Amino acid sequence: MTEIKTQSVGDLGPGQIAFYESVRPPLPAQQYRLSASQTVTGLPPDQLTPFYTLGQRFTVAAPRFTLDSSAIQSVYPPAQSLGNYSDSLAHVVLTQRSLPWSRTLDDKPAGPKAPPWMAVLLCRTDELNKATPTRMTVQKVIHPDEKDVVGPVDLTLTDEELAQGCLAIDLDDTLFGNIAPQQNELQYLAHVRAVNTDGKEILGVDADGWFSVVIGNRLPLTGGAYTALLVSLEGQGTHLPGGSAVPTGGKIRLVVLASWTFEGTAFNRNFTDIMQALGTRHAPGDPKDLIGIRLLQMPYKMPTVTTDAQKKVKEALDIGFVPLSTVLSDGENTVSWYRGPLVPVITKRDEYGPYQFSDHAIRYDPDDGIFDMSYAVAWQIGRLLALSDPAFAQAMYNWRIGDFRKTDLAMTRRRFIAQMRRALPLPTAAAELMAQDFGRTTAMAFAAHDLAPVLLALPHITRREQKLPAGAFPGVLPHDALEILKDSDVEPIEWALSRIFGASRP
Amino acid sequence: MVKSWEPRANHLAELFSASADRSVQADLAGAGDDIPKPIADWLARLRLLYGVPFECLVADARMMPTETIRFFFIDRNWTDRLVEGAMSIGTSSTRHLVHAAVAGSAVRRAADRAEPRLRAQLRNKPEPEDAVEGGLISGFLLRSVAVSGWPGIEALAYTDVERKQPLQLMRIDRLSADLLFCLFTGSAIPACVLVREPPETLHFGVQTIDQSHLAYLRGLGYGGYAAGFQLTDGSMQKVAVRGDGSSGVVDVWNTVNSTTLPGFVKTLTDKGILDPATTFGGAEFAVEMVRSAGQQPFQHGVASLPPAEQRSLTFFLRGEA
Repeated sequence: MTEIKTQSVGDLGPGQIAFYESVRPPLPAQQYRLSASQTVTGLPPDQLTPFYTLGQRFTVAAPRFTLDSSAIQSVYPPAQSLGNYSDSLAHVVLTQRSLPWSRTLDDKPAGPKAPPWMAVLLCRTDELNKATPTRMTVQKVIHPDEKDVVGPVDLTLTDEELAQGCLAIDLDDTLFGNIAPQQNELQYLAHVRAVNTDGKEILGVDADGWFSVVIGNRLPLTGGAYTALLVSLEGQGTHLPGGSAVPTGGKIRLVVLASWTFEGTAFNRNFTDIMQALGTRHAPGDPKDLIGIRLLQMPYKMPTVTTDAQKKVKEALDIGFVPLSTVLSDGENTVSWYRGPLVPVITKRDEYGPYQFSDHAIRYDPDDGIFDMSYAVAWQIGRLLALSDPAFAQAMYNWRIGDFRKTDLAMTRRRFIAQMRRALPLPTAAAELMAQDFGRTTAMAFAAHDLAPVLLALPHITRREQKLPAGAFPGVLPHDALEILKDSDVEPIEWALSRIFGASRP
Repeated sequence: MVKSWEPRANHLAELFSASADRSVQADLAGAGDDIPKPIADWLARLRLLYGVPFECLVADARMMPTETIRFFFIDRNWTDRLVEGAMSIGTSSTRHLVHAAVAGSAVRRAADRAEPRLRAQLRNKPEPEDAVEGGLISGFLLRSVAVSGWPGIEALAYTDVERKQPLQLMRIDRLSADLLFCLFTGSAIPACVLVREPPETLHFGVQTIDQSHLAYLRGLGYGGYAAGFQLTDGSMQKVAVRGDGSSGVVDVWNTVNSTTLPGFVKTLTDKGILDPATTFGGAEFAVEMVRSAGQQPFQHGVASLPPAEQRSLTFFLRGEA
């Protein structure tokens, strides 16, 4: 049924997760005194035996009333999320593997089977009666000012611990009695997992290493806003349901280590059940007609298909056409076929090229007199969508204008070449050269420089430039003027004509 | 420009060949047509039917009843007409028409190229290496409460039943709260489409069947049952709740230890899953209560719907550390 990889017990391979009962810290969080002593033996009996001792106090600290946000790896359901969580238990993943066992419920040294001191409580936000985790000193938590509020009992704390700030919430005793886990249940609600994801994300668990997990004990069955609280149960062991000092009639003050909210959607059907139900979904009133999983077609009932017309209609409906009423441009009311882009068959891409108007794309069947408006509608929708987007329209305009300029340039070059050919009988090679490179500069360069060696080869011809200094002879351009002419946008023949004939041109 | 009067037909012919020459040259240059990227991307979005009114996609409401899934292919002629309509704006002269005629195929190729890369671009991810341009686009429309209840719903498609050759996902969107629209492209039609519950972290919970809460029994690495292995007979264990069950608080102690219910300890020991020497503790409870996300495969050409599947898990158990 499920895809499973069997494995042997051993060291964690890649992609494996190991669950551990608990990881108890070798030194619980307390004050310790380390002392060392040394004696010297083997001395002569009349000498005093020296004895040396040294003591050192140290404290093993662990979170007690506050939890750093880095201690929490992740929470589920994800904070501020919306979804169907009605079948899930909320849980918190902590980065320190021994954290849930670092303290005890009754502040005494931990036995080997002591339960964890944290729990996840899940409340509907409206059950909280407007209680929220509020900031107060530990002093106020242990000894609440209000009369009917009970806090943690039997804790020994130093003065500086009492002055610490923490978050605490007051829950109604009835609510607490309903939702809190019993003391004998706490052992099941916390465990440790070691993960070797080998860098891959499996099921959203993408961090390697050791984590401790504290699971809640309540399902968010109904929809609505929920608040999940990770609370410290230190000193509250007797207050838990089934304990010896369950408070009633007032409130209980709990230290909140972390809290988050989420929203459950209103219904509580399973995802896989809903998807499986698609397989049995039938048309209303007709249990044999399964309509859950189909190709996208117009449903129809045609008990008999005998005439040609019926066959045609059936074929059209089978390949995705839908008959829709149409008002033609001359006012006539008719029915025509329409098929959107989502079709139940594979179509071949045609090369009928860009249509100029939407009406060009209307197809007509002269045998039946029915139009097919599909592509005309598509064309029109495309046009309307483009018109509604000014940025696209601007980009189109710019692109087109750029293309027009290029086309103009191409046409101009062609005409220039054609005229040059008519004006100067050129050898074939030069004509080819010009034909290949449409650049105006090439033509001018040819005229200015390449013709020159030809002319030079003829006797008695010296280049004007060689004969005369750069002067004001018409038609003889110094080199820099030539450059300027090349760079400007002037048509060479126009320019030549204007130079020759002056302002009054024939 | 040296003006000359010439017959309009000649002028048009010259215009046409000059325009065509330019685009032919661009092709030969190999740079790919000089269609600017913003235009190609916009047209790719249009090709994936972003912004197209729903009545044009599904002409009649009877084609998409509630709680149904409908598979389809995209008609490339329809989307090509969309693109042509978009290119037709601002045309006011024959010149524009000539330009549209010669640039049409270049525009189509540019949109084909941009289409499979669009999704990666929108999500700021690197481009797919083996994008299929101008390939067959298939997809489905799913109208169901599953879409509104699980906002992160996912879909995958494969060309083979063994699920080795994936199709590229081009678009997955909710057109309305309960309507999911999904497009894939590739070289062949999809043989298997998977609709998946959103991937959650490894989490714990129950299966609710007819108002009662159950958990699938899983092996614990003893007695021949691999740890984490859901039992092949699909047996489930009733999970006790406090009170009448309306508060949803799980009665953990009784779920584990009760002999009348029967609880996990009794059931698992009777089936030989739990080693009598070990105690059932937090780790065992976690393994039994694990839930993984589900997925539903749809297979092409298969008469009935395959059963739903659970996403696979790999883990095992240790005692105290």
